[in-house]
Amino acid sequence: MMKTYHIASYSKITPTEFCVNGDKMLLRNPESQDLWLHDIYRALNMNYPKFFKMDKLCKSGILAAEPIMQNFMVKPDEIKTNWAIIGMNSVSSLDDDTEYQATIQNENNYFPSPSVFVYTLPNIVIGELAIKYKIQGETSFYIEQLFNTPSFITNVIKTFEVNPQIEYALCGWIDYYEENCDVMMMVITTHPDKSIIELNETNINQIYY
Amino acid sequence: MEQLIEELKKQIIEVLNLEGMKPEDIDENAPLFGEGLGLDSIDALELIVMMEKNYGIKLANASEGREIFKSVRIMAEYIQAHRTK
Repeated sequence: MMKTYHIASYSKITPTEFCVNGDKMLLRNPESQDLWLHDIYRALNMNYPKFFKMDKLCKSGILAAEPIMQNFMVKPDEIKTNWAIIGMNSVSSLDDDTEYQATIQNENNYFPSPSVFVYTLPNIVIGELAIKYKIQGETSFYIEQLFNTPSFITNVIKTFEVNPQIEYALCGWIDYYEENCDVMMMVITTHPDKSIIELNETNINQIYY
Repeated sequence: MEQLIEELKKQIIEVLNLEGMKPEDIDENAPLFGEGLGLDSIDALELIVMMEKNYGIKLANASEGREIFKSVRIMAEYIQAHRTK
């Protein structure tokens, strides 16, 4: 029987809005003194101190994933071997690369930061998501020039096809550079009963653009 | 010494991004790693960089950190004895 793919939940973070399943959960307060991502963290009432040690790419991924993973965390300690995590973006880890470069730029002030260095790879966000949600299935990260709907869908379906054990994928476009946050995450499943909408180009375009 | 301990607590919070923690929340006699603040190996490396940057102390061997970072007080005593700035 041919598999069908469905979106079980989705979220989006832009520089001004945080949305879950199409509903606006938080609007950026221009008077806030804190980082926009920290405002979202507090709005979600999260208790995950490790969050504050992460780079902004990982923070974005975790925040976008948190509300859409809630329905799948009934047994919080259960290891998810039938899940995949698929990430994509265009800037790779450039935000961290730039920050790290600044710590080694001046030979008279040469103090390379280990905690910045560990985030100078874009797929670290996949690792952070895997730890947070106890996912031990397939993982992959793609770097593309721009968000591209057909490519997004192809990358996701390919993962399900490569490993028939995969029933769910936490996937998304996770881009962060110079305070510009462009994040869309979703849970995609082969289980029609978990579906809120079908996985197709029209629906992805509607969510992303 | 007490002033250095307070200074160190503030620096540790800032350098290690211990959000929501205040200097008075850190017990200067409690272990920094494992229990206590629950810091990890990357945090240890960051503390080594901080000691070099702020106090001119360069550890020849990263494993020396095991002794030095036992607590904030032990760290302060080491800094006071070895600082070059």
